[in-house]
Amino acid sequence: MLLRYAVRRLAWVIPIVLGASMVAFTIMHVAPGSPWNREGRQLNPEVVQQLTEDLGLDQPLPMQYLAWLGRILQGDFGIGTTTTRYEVADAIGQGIWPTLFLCLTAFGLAVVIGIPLGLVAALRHRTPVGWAATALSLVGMAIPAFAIGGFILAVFPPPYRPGVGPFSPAPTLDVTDVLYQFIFPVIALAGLPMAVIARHTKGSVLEVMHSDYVRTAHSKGLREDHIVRVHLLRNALVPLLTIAGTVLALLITGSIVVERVFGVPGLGNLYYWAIRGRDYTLLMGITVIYAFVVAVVNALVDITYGVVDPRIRDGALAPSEAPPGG
Amino acid sequence: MAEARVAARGEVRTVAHGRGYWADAFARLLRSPAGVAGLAIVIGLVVIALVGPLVIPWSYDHQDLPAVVAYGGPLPPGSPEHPLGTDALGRDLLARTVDGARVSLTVALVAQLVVIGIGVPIGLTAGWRGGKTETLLMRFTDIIGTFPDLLFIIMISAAVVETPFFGVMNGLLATFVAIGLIAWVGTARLVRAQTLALKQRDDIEAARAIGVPEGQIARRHILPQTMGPIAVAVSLGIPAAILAESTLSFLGLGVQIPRASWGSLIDSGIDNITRAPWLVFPPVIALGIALVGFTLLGDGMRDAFDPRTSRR
Repeated sequence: MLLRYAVRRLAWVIPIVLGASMVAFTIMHVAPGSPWNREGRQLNPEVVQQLTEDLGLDQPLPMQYLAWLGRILQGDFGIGTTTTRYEVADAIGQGIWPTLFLCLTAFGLAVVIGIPLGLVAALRHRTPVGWAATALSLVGMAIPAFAIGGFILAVFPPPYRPGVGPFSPAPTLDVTDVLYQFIFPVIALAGLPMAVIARHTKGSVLEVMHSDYVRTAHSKGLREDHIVRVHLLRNALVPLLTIAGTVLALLITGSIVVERVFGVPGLGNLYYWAIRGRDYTLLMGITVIYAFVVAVVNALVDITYGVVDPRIRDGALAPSEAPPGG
Repeated sequence: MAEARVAARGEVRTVAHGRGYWADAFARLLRSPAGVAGLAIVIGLVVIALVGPLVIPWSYDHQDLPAVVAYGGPLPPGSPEHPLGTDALGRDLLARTVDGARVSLTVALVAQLVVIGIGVPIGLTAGWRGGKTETLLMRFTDIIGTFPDLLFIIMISAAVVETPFFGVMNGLLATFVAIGLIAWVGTARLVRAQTLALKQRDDIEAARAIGVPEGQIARRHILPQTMGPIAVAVSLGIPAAILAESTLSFLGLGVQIPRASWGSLIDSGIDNITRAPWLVFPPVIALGIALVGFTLLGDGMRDAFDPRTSRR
C-alpha cells in the first residue's frame, strides 16, 4: 500500500516538471526581441536566414520546445550568452555544488535553532522567556536574506570586493573566503527558514499542549520532560512536514540573492546574472533544475507524510488538506 | 477549516455581545499588545510615506552634485543637509528611503487588490458551483501553487522586462501585476473553503428554499460572510508582497531608475559596500520595520478573527 502510494506520488514528478518547463519555455519565448536584434548593427540577411534555419528557429514553437526538451534530457542545456560563449550545462554543473552545500548547511542551522526556539516560545508561553523567543523568530521573519547579507557586509566590510559576475573564481580555504563565501552566506540564508520553522513549531506545540492526551499525561503525574519528549514533540513535529515546501522555496530564492550579495559562484549567483544579462538559455536551464528539485522534494515530503499518517496514503486525505501546524 | 468556524462563531458572538462582527474583531485586535504595536508601526509608515516627501527638501531623484564634488565622493551621513548621506550621484538617501516606503506600500496594496480581484471570484465560483467547475478551477490553482511563488513572479517579470509594458510607471505596474497574478492562490483556497462551509448553513438553505436565484445567494449571502477571512488573508499577504517587491527590485526586475525601492537601494548599497557602507543601512532597517509591522498586524488580525487561537 505504502509502496504503491510512493510510486504513484513519485510518478507525479514527471508531469509537474514538464509543466514547469513548458511554462518557462513559453514565457521566455513570449518575451519580445530575437537573437538577431542588435542595436545599431546590421546583420547580413542571408546569414540571419541561414542561422535561423540551422538553429531551428523557423520551426513552430511546440517543435522548438520538444527539441529543447530532448536536448536537456541528453544533458545539453544549450549555449549561454552572457559575457562569453559557454555551455550552460557546464555552468550549472559547477554552480550546483556551492549552492547545495550552502542550502543544506543553512537548512540544518535553521532546524537546529528554529525547533528549540519554537518549543521554548510555546512551553514558556506568556512569560518573558517566551516573549523573547517569539520576538527573535519575528525578527528573523522580518529581515529577508539579502538584507541580512547587506547588513553583515556593512558591519564587517570585506578586505576585498568578493567576485562579481556570473563566473567568479571558486572559493579557497583561506579565512576570508571561508568567512565571506560560507559562514556569512549561511547565516543570511538560514534566518528566514529558521523563523518560519520556529513559528510553526510554536503553533503546533501550543495546539498539542492543550490536547486531552497531554492533560491526561499530566494528571497521571508523569514527569514534565517525559511528557515533552514523548507526548508533545512526537505529535507536534509531524505537522512541520507541511512547511517543507515553504522552507525549500525560501532556500532557493534566498540562495539567489545571498550568493549575489557575497559573490558565491553558485546556481543562485548564475540565476541573478542570467536575469541581469537577459541570458534566457541559462535562465530556462536553471528554472528546469529548480522545478525538478521542488517536485522531487514535495513528493518525498508527501511520501514521508504517508508513512507517518496512514490516512493520507489511503487517499482519505489529500496532502494539501493535512492539518496545518498553526 | 479554522476560518470557516471563525465566521460562524463571529455571528454567534454578534448576538451575544450586541456588537458588530467587525467592531468585535477590532476590539479584540486592540486588546493584543502585538497587534497594537503592528497597527502603530503601519500607521507610522503610512504617515511617513504620505508626509515625508513633502517635508524633505530633496526629491528622490535630485542630484546634489556640488556636495558630492566638494566632498570628493558619496557624502557620509551626519551633515545637516543630508542627515543620512548621499549616494555617488549626490541623491539624498533619506529622500530615497522615504520614497521607497511609497513604492513598497503602493505595490503591496495594489497587488492585494489584484489578488482579491482574481482569488475571490475563483474561490467563490469553485465553492458554490462544485462539481466539474470546482475540480477544474482547483486543479488550476494547485498547478500554480506547486511552484515557489517568488520564482514564478521572477520568471514573469524577467519575461516582460524588455517590453514597453514594463516601462509604465517605472516598472510599478508590471511588478504588482506579476505579484497579483501568482499570489491569489491562497485567497482562492480560503474563499472556497469558507463558501463550502457556509453552503451547509441554515440561512443559506432558507434563502434557497424561498427561491432566491443562485447567483444572488452567492453574491448577497455568501460573499459578505467571507470578508473576515479575506481581510486576514490580505493583511498576511501584504508583508509577502513587500518582500516579493523588494526581491524583484533587488534583482533589477522591479522598480526602475530613477525611482528607488528598498530592494534596489540595498542592491546599489551592496555594489558600493567597500566605498560607502552606510548606503545599505537605511533601506535594510526600513524594510525590516515594515515587515515586522505588517506581520504583527496580520497575526493580530488572524487572532482577532479567530477567537479560538487567541484564547490560549
